Amino acid sequence: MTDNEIIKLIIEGKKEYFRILVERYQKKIFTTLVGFLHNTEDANDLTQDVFIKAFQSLRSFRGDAQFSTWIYRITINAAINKTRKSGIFKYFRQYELEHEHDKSDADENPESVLIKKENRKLIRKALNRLPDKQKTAFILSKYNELSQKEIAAIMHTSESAVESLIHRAKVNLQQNLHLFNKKVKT
Amino acid sequence: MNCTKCSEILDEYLAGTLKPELSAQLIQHLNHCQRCYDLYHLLSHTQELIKEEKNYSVNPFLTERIMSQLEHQHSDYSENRLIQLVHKVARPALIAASMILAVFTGIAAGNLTVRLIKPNLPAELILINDNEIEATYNYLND
Repeated sequence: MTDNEIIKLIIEGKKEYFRILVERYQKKIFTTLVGFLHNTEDANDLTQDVFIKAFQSLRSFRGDAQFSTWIYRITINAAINKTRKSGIFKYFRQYELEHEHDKSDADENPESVLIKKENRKLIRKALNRLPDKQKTAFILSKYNELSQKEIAAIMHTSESAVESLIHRAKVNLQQNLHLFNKKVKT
Repeated sequence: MNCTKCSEILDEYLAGTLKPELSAQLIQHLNHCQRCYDLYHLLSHTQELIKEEKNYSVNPFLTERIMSQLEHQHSDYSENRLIQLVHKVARPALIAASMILAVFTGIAAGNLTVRLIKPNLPAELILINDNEIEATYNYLND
C-alpha cells in the first residue's frame, strides 16, 4: 500500500492505518533527530512529537511532494526548534552524553576512555556550531544517506545548493574541530 | 603537499576514495604536520561517531506510545471537519458583529454628550445643533 493510499484512509477516519506510516518512517526520523541532538532519549521523545504533529496536520498534506519529504521537513523544524530551546539545559545533557557509552568503554584503559570522551564532546560541539542549513544538509547526507536530489526536495532548494551546503559544512566542521582542539590543548 | 591541500583531500582519504599516489603524499604530510595529523584524527573519530549514532535503535515501544496518544486525542477527522467549518464561518461573523457593535456603541456614547433640545422650540430650530455656537454676549461684555 502506498503512503498516499494510507493517508487517504486515515483522513476518512481509519486512524489505525497511521501505525503503518509510523513503522515505515520511525527509524529514518529517529536517525535524523539523533544527528541533531546526539541523545537517544530526546530523539525518541521528539520522534513521537513529530508523528503526532504529522497526524494532526495530515489534512494539510496535499500530495504534491512525497510523504517522506513532508515528514522530514516537520522533523527538521522540530529538531532546530529543540536545539534552540534546549540551549540552557546543555550542561545537564552533557553529563548524560558523557555517561552514555560507559558500558562499551568498560574494557578499554581509563586514559583512552577519557581521550575518547573528550574527542566526542569536541566533535559534537563542532557539529552543533554549524549553521542550521549546513547542519541539516550534512545530517541528511551523512546520517540518513539521502541523495542530493532528495535533500534538495526536503530543503526546497537546488541540487547544486545542497552540494555547496555540504561542502561548506565539511570545511566549517574542520575549522571548528581545529579551533576547539586548539582551545583544549592550551 | 601543503596543509590546505591536505585538508581538502582528507575527507576522500577517510572515505577510501583517494587515488593511491595522493594517499602516499598525504600520509607523508601527516607524518610531519602535527596540526593536520590532529585534524585527521578528529575527522576519523567524527566518522566513527556518526557510524555509531546511526546504529542507535528506536525505543521498541515507540509505535505503541504514538498510537495510544492518538487514541486519547478526541479530534476525529470527521469531527475536525465540522469544527473547521464552524471556525471558518463563525469567526468572521463574530468579528464583523463585534465591529458593528463597537460602531453603534460609539455613536450611542457620543449622543449622550449632546445637550437635550428644549421641547418648546419651533420645528425648524430643532434641526439646528447650536452646541458649537458661542454666545455673542461673551465678547460684548469685555
